[in-house]
Amino acid sequence: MRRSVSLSNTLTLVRVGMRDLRGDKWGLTGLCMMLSFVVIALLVPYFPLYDPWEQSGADVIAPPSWNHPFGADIYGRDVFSRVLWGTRVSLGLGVLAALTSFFVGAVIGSFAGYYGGFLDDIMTRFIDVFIIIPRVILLILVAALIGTEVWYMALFIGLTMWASTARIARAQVITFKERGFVKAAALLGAGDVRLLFLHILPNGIYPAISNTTLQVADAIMTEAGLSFFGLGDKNVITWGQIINMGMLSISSWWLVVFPGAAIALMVLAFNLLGDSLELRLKPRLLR
Amino acid sequence: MLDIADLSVVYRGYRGVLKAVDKVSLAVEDNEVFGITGESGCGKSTLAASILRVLPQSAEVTSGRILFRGIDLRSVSEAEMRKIRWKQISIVFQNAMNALDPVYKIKDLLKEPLRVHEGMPDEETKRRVGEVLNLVRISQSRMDSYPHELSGGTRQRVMIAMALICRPQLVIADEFTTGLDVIVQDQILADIEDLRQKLGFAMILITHDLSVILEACDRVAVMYGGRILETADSKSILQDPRHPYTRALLDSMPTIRDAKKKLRSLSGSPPDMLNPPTGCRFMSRCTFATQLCQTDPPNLQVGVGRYSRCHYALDQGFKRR
Repeated sequence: MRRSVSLSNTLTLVRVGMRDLRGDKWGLTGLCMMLSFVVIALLVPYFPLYDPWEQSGADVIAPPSWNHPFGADIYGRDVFSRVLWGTRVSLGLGVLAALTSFFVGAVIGSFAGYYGGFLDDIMTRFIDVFIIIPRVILLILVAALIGTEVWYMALFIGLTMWASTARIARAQVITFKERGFVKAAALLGAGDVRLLFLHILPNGIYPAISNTTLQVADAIMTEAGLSFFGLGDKNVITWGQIINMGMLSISSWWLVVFPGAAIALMVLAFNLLGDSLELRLKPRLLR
Repeated sequence: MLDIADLSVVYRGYRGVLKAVDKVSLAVEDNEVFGITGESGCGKSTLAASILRVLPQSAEVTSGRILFRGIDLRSVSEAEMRKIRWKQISIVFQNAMNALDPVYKIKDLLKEPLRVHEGMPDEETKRRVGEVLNLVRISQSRMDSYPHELSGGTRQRVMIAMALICRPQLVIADEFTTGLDVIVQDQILADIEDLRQKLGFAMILITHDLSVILEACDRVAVMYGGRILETADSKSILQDPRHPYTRALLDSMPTIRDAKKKLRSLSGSPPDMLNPPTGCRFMSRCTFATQLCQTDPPNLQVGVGRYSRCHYALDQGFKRR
């Protein structure tokens, strides 16, 4: 693919995505919240914070104070610092999982829709199977068999979410492959891959993108849930890990409330953004 | 340059076999504009699609020969055909809005055929795009526009530019002015004529609009029920139609000189192509039909390069009143 074409496509995507955003206060709120999380995740090493791993015997389960705004956990580690550092892994994991889901879903769905027939039947059944399997149970199995390393977890969370993206991509490809400009490009000599990736998907993939944004929130929640059950990666700081730690000192509310609020805010941010993108990008008759 | 002989195309549907094109023969010369006209469903678009081998899956060419510069288009491989399509025979599509991909700028759309067919370096494609936009009289500043930002006429010009960018020898235009208002239509037809003078290419112009045919074409074939009923140069067909159907078509067209002319329309409807009638296809609606018309009419030569598929083509009864 030529760089100029892909660049102009990306610009179109951004332009369509930003259309009317100024009048959309919830979408704008979601975008601002998400950007703040991104800024925190990128700049957290430069903040004047306690080392999130540093243990201090004097501060064990210290309640919130000027010194420790969010208190300290059972090892005397600063929760404020841990929550901010947790942004990194939680956001990265959510985005990685959603992107995995997007690519797998888009490829499987669009090939099923494009080639149709027997291949479509097989793939649609395959997609249905993935929709049916309870996600958490599958992930517990994966954690037990493969381990809990955080980036593997992101990958596997993504691999349990792609089915909805695949369904959207398939439906979109089916409607767009009959359009005049696709037929015209075929006549002009474009091959299957070119038609699919340069003509059909750039037109039809938008609804899958809003779905993917919503899946970021979903992935973050899934990881938090797994970590809460003790199936997370103990070597990184995630919000789910902090809450899991809180189980050991059940009366220390600050070990649950602050990371819990962070999860809620991040999920809210991606939901607001996803809903607003969905309104903007999904094809419909009335706008 | 293009020689079609005895071409038959059928569509296989659940209701039976539909004969869309029935033993059609025609020849298009170098630098000629050849018009194909007829009402909806007479097989003119199917005929065009079979030249480029882009028929839908349910269609099948059952007989005949399509020779393009000595190459038999029915027997060349698909890979060969892809080389011929657009480089040698290109097409201007019916509905410009639907045929232009909405996510690409005009310049990227125009570059696509060059990229696919010529593997040209970027600099060269840029030059060619500028050149072809000049030819179809679109301002260079429109290069960065998206299709939805253009007017219908300009979009149609973009389609023409796309068809011409690989310098084909034959351009097929299927209803390409339909949907444009007559003034824009007229400008585009004039521009096409101009382009043909400059570049030299032949054209097959398919339209149900008789005035377009008469204005733009050198020769005309009138189709009805999958057959060509009359072939002639466009001047003589206007003055002296030799088939009752052609004459009926002309009678239904207003003229500028005789405002009080009564426009006649044909009663009845075109034949059911699932069960085509025997004998003359036009018999059921023809005011001149006789017992003889139950048999297939021969393709009579009625003048220099003029043919008519009517038993009475040589009689003088068809002069315009």
